[in-house]
Amino acid sequence: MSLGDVEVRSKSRQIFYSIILIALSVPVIVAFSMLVLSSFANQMVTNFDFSKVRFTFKNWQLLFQGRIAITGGLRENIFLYLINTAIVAFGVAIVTTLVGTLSGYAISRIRFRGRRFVLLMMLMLHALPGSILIVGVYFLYRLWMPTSLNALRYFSFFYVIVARAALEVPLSVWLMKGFFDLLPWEVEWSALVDGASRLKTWAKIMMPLIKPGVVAILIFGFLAGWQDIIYVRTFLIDKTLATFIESNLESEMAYMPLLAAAATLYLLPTIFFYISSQKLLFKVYAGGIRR
Amino acid sequence: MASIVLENITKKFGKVTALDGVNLQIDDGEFIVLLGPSGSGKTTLMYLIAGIYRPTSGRILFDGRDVTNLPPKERNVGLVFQNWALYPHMKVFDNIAFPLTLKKADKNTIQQRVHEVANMLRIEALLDRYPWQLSGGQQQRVAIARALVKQPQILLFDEPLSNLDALLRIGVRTELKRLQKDLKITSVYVTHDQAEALAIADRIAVINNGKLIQVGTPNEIYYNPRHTFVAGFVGNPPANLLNAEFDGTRLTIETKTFQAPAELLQRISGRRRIVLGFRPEKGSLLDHITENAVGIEVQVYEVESMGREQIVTVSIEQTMVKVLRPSEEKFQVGQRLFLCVDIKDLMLFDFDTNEALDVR
Repeated sequence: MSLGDVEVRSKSRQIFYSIILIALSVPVIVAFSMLVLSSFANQMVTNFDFSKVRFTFKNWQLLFQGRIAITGGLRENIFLYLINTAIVAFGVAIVTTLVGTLSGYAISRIRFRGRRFVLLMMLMLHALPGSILIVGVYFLYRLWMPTSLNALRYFSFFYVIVARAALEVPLSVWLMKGFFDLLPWEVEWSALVDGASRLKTWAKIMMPLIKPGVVAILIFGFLAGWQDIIYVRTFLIDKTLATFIESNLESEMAYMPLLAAAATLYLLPTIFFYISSQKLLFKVYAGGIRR
Repeated sequence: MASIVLENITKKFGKVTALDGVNLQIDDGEFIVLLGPSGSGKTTLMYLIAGIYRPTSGRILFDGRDVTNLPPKERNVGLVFQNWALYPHMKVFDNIAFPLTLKKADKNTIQQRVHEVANMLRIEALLDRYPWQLSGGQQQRVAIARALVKQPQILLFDEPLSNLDALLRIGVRTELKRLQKDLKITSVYVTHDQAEALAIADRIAVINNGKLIQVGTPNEIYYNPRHTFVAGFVGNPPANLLNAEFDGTRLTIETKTFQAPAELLQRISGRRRIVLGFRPEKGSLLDHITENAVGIEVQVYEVESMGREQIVTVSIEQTMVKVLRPSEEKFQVGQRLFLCVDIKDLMLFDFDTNEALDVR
């Protein structure tokens, strides 16, 4: 065997690893391809016999027209659901990121009473799944909810965002604390001596340096909000894509290929964010600081 | 430009006392070096001047104004960190301009001032690069430029040369001293390198274990150390320190005894034990004892060539003594000689307090 540079893996090994990774992802890829194929077909694709399958755009057309059944006059506003989902997702992302970066900074940089306790409690909170907490969360919802239906609609958005974000906060605080811990004190002191306030140092110096981490929790938060069904179903008066698909799966006149189209639509942001954020996550600033 | 007065400064981190009752006056335009081994508290003292730390007790005055409780941004000091602490996500121009943008200076002023300091430090060609695209020496210039751009009244340097390679260090050292003299900014420079301190300082403040041991010009520190710590820390190699016993007329080092010179009797003033010290270059190795000198029999232990000079290590029984001799002189390992030191070159210290013994 010839000796290469340390950072270069041998070719045969690379091929070996690739084969394992591909084999592991085959079930996932097959499942998702079947879903996407179904959304363009006259019937659900459930096996590899394509003899009766016809290609069609009809499902997508019906979906955007909001006609969830082929027959009958049932109409639903799919665009409204899309916007609702986006509101919840962006809301969760922003709340998670704001709380995560600010408290991560405080826990990493400021020594205060009960710092360790807060960290440990958050770790415990993270260990509990959201569905376990839902009784308590619902109790608070009932305590605070406004009586007028219109106000309740807005309140339910606010509540679902905050409640869902609360589940993401522990992880994001821990992540951000880790990122801030890595930044040398000297850079922060330097900014303070240069005349910046603590908040300005955080915004202008610290945050840009941990941008990859911030983008990561922003995306985690978005996906958590986008994918959530339990909290949305429990608290939100309006429908999101998730509750729309879920409620139609159970209905008698469900037309599955149309739901496949809805599900594919629902998948798109996840795939988009995953691909676009990949590069950012690996971009780490370095240089200018010696340790 | 400002004078600095440190009054009885004590700084504690929990139970650890980092600085203990430090009093120091720094004159306007002076270049003072805080010299001490790592962990001595010298960087802590500098951070106190910058306002990054608050003293546990004591006062700090700039030009007579009490700044003890002012945050760093209200002190108008420039600080060059050991690791330079450049902002990696900003270009060199923005790095240097950062203190000015915080002051909300207008664009033209910023442009003009940044180019001014960049020109002075010869980094104008680099303004469009990121810190990681620069060499160590260049990054350091950027750090100095950023400290200078806001026209601070005090400049602080935290071991700024320790991350540069040896040759570059000597060059930058000269430039720094020149720059400070041209700008006449009061400067505090922290280092653990005694050679750097001797070369660059107007005055040196030697710190050990959180206490100020001696403050003085490089010459005073080198030739007239007030404490065995200063004698044993400054110089390359540092001064030799030997424990000696005194019986009223004769001094004894281990088993070697010699007549105490009359000139020293008053300074010893009846102490039973003292510490004798001398600079390595003040010792000579001869086959006889010269006049006006004390001599003691020694054996050559090892000879190290340094080019122009050589370090001859000799042993008095257990104790090793280093002597600096011109390389023309020849010595052999095992050779028996007399180590002679002129009486005027002997330094005397109290055995218990380690402080220098003066003529009273």
